[in-house]
Amino acid sequence: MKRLNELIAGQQGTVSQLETVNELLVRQCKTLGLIPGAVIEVLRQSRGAGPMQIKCEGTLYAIRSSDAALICIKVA
Amino acid sequence: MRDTTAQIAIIGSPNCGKTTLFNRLTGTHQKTGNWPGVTVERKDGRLNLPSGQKVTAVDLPGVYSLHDDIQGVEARVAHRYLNEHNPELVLVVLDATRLGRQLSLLPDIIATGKPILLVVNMLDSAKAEGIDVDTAALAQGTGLPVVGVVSSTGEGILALKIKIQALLEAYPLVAAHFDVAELARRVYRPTGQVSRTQKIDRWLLHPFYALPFFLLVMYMLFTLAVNLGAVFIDFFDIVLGSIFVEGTRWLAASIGLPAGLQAVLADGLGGGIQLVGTFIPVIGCLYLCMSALEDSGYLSRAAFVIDRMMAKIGLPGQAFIPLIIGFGCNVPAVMAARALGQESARLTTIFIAPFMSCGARLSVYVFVGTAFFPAQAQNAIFALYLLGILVAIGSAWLLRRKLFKDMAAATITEMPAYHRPLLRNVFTQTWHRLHSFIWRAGKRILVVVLVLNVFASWGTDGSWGNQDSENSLLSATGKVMTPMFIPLGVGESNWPATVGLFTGLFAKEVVVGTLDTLYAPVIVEQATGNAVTAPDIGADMKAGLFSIVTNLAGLSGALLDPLGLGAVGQDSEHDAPASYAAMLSLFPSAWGAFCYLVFILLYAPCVATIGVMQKEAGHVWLGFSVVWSLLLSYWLASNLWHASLLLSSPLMALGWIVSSSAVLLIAYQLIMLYMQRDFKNRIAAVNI
Repeated sequence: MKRLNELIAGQQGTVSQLETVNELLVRQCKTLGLIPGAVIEVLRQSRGAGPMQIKCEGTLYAIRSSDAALICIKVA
Repeated sequence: MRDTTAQIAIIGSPNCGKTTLFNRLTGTHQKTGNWPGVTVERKDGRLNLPSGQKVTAVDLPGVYSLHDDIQGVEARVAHRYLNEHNPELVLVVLDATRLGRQLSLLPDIIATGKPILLVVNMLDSAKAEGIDVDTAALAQGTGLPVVGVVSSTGEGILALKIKIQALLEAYPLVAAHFDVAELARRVYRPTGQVSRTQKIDRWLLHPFYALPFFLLVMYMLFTLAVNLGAVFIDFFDIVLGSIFVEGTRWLAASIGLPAGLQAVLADGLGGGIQLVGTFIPVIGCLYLCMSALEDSGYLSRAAFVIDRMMAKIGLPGQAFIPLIIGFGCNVPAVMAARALGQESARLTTIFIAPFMSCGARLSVYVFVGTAFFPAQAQNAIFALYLLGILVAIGSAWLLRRKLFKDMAAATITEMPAYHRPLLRNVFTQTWHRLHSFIWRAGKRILVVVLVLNVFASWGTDGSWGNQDSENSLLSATGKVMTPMFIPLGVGESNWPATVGLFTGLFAKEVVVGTLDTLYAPVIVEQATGNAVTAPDIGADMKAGLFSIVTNLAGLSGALLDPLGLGAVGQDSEHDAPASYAAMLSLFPSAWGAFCYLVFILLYAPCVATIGVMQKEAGHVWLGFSVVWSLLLSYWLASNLWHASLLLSSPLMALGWIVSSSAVLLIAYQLIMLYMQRDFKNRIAAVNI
């Protein structure tokens, strides 16, 4: 089990759980389809606190590392 | 346009090409407004069906779902519309390249029980990326009618119109029950291949090339929006002034209206129209660039590149563009903050954008600076720009700590695919924004200009036409209020500087004109309103056109110096204006003049900015911002001045610094308490 922000560029994984620390993030992820079971590919990882670029079901998203740390990923 | 014809609604998730489709269907027959009570834009358009029947199409805001309002008001607006109005048909627009995900919006809309037509858009992009979309299976699986289109080229639009017409006549179908995930698998077969967007991102988000490209785009945005737009300002100023100010005055005089009414109509109303008009070129150019950037998909990449830096002051990357634009003009800066999805970020950006020292303020710095510290003007001006940025950062930090601390934020945003910007979309969008500025912000600006101009024109003896003279009510008020500004280092009998603060509200560059006239020894005899002649509009039009040519010639210089800082120091080579002598004698010292400039930088935004702030954020937020900057600027300028007195009269200076800081602290606590109380409800009440 890893956090989304720990994945390196090019890695893929399946969302296993969303931490409920930030309720808004959870709701937003749900509407965007980043729910347990969804496959996420990391396209761009940033150093430090910058944003990372991910791909899920053909759509690209930007997410800050601090928020990505709240998404638990099962690496395939 | 409403109620007389059948209404159809267009709905879809953000970036699905919904607006392109709307523009394609309705052409130029569009009308924009706001949804009642919110700042979400509403667009209605007339759609001519092949049979000649006219229907009204309503473009609903882009939403990911109808029931959860993560995007704040958009989902609520769409939901309310579908429930309360009775659209005879709902077009659900789906992006073919991401069809699987897009389908999740469908169950919400089916639940409203309205007749639905599915429009699968961007079939060309899907094909180019090797994605297989089965529209027949989609129709079969959902039991809903389906049409495939490419709205960027117009392919399939006629078929869509025919289908709409048929469905308006009879809607026979009932939606089937289906499982979204299962259906998605059946109709949408993505290839594992790397999309074109990802290939472009390899370069534009490259670890090394991303930043230079970003800076290049920002530079071009600024030069095109601010410098190219500025080329046409004089044209609007001269021509509108000729028609609305001089023309109105002549007309009013020739039908024998009293001088007071003449002043109200010509200087107040006409002057207001003239002022609003001068913003048209810059705002138009800005929105041409912004819409093109937005349409191309680069805007979200720019936010991505600068995000790390903006995170430090607690704002999303998207806030960078409004702030950069603020260095040119605060008005489009406040308007550009609309692109920010998060309310707290949008409000913060609107709040701090006026602290960005705009081009108009630069002219004041140059005028005062070259008089008092010609050798140090560059440094002084650099210090003022820096001070503005620091105040902005500090305010943003405070807002986040005190006001928005409970407002959780999520930083996940969609990055749309790259598209070639469509001229039709770019021009439509620009026109809507311009229209909204002229009619909605313009109204508010007009009122303030009217009041200020009446004060500037009305003399203490009851006469009219006293602009820029000692006899106007404004000057009288300035004289009375001057003692208030002595702590800033303004000087006891320096009332022109005080009057400049008032006229600076019109537009910051007006301060230069006021100071220049009021400090200059009065030689011109008063000839108030006696000889009103008809304006020579033809000649003024020529002069206006000529100004465009002259300004265009000067544009090449602006390419290397977008902020126009080269003007600093140039003026000192000319003969010093006659007003310099009086100004030099009335300010107690050069440092006093610098403190005055600090106050000019921060005290309050100009009326045009105030107008758009009121429109974009409501009067509570506007009042908060103005009170905040008035207090802060007064404190800052007066403390800078008293710091210079620490040596000569340490007790008085120290006393001032301590007591004013205490007052500021208490005042800020009170303001924050007031704003925090019932904050969310109040914010909801001011259109957010």
